[in-house]
Amino acid sequence: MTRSVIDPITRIEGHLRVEMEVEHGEVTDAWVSGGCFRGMELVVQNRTPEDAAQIVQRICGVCPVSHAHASSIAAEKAYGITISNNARIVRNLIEGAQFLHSHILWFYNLAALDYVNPLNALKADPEDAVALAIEAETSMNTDFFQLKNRLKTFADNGQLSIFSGNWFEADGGKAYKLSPELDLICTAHYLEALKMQARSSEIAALLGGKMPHIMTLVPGGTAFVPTEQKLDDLKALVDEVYNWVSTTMIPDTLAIGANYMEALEFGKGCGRYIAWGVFENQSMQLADRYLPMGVLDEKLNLSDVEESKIKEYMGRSWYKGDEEYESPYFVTEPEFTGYDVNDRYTWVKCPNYDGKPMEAGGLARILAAYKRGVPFIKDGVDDMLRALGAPGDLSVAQSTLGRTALRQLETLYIATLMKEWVDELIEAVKGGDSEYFRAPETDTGSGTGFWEAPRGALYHSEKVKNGRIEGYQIIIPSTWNLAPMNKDGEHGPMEQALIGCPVEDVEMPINALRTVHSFDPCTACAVHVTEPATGKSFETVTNPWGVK
Amino acid sequence: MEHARSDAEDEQDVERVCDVRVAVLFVGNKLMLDDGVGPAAYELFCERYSVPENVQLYDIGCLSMDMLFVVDECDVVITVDAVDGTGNPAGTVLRFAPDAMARHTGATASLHDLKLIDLFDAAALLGYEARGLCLGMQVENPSPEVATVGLTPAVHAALPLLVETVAAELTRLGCYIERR
Repeated sequence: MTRSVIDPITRIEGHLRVEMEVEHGEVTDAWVSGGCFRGMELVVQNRTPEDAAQIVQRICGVCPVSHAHASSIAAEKAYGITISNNARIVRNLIEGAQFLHSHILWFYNLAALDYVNPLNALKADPEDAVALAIEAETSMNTDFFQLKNRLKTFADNGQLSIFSGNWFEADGGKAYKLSPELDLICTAHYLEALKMQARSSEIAALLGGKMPHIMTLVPGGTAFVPTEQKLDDLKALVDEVYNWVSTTMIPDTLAIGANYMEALEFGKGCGRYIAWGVFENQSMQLADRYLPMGVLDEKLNLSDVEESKIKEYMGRSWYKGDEEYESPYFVTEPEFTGYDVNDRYTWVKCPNYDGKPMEAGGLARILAAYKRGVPFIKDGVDDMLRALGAPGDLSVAQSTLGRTALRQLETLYIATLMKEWVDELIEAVKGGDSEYFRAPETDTGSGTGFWEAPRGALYHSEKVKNGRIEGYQIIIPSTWNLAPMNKDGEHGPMEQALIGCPVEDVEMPINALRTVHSFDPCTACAVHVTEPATGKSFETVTNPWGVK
Repeated sequence: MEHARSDAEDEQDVERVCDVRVAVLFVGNKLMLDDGVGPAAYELFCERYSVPENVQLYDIGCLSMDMLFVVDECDVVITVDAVDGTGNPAGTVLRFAPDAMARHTGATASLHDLKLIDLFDAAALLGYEARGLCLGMQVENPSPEVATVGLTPAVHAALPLLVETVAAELTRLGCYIERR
């Protein structure tokens, strides 16, 4: 029996450690540890709900909009406000822009390097890459000849550090299976993705004042009021991102996936799912959201969320107490006791639904939408299952590759919706609808915001008295996915997904890494200081205006 | 990210226009003591100078890759950042090429580990042709135990020198900056 530890997990949003027991080339036990205490609930105590919606955005620079949204919904529930139709559309657009940024970033710049080897692209024949791109029906916005030349220059100058530290040589060099031509195509799209995520953030900034950490999503609606110029810019940006997503992401996914079909065989996890739903429809009902709420048991039977079934257990995490607390629960008392997988080993609490660990995220949303018969998702999933050689078999989706692949369908769906919402907003404005904000008529109450961040189900709950927050609770999606063992000793979703993963090389357990990345984990911020490279010199400036 | 708009639109003097497009990116985290020297320089620069339309000033906090669109649109990108490990005393102002910055030796643990050099490298891989110039200041303490706003005395004292260095570089590029 061998221990394999990945610490830190690379290419994620935050800090995460995974410890695994490996026997006969397979993970037999696993412990996932989040290395960062946030305690944002404590920061918002005694603040106004309007302040809270701003402050909680600082939880994350990738998904601040979702936190503002969930917090605002909690405040609106507490104050009994239903937002106006224009506010609903504007908020959907800001949230959608952030989802597009996050999903594009995750797939190409975080997860893809588990499957794509840009160094192998140096061996590609650009002419064959063009032929392959045509065959795979994927986009060709980059000149493959020029890109290969630039890559070669970079490799010769030792400038490829953005690709360094990956496990390209894992499993004796057999872990990366794409042809050099497909690696070249995907490297082109990796670079284009950097531009497309920035475009998506521009949409969020246009509507939110700035990004990350927007200014216009407030309890009661939105502070964004469109002008003709802004609507025009919005339409152009949305079209640009949509055009790229729709011609690139699904074909790339299918082309990459075809080379890694074994990843359909592992990484299932707990097989139970929660989605609180995201993107409001006119009815403002959770079950009617564009990506609707749904709780799915091990047989994928669908039910509606009941708040009292959400509980948090602290017995394996660095917090005081070892009981289960029913939500909403407003106490956060950190107590670090040392890393011990037999006792407490993480800053992540252990939430459960009806006593069970649950997976949150894109897969959970897709499965909930599929079960509720959302046409775009139903058709898309059926098409993708057919392409993966398992028509109608949802169990294929419950795997490392399934979880990774199906998220692109969600990206395409959101990009499509963005176009619809822009048109809807333009029509509403043309029709003379000018209501964006509704002021509260009370300053006391309690409410919960059920929402989704790109990484999954997001819960904010607050109790407000005389305009000040008395209690606040947040359950972020990665808390569900990275949960430690529960009180019955059952592992959390990611731990379960890791158990059974084939491991050829305990130093570079690439399939475990693929599984971790399939969840898009996020745990939390930093300082950037420039250092000189060895052997390079920095020139000292003493007289800036003088002649040198 | 804060973005200072150019004052040129309000000015009558439209003849003095230079067409080289320049972006100055002030980098750093204000909450981390000397790491905030970039944003502090941004504030002092905006206080002292107004810039023409072809010059864009950005306080980018800790963003790096997100600024690719700026590199795409510019002929010259100047960065102003905290620098450590040069062996110079704190407060020393330094000028260097992007390529002189250290690259990762291992994997990036998270998005937070992306560095300025990644911005320049990614831009070059994308085929962007902007020229890069880096200005920085050797710092004393960029990682306080507790989040601290402010600068250590040596770094604070040298702030005007850093700001004048930025002004001088812009002038050398032919940009008509004006003292307020």
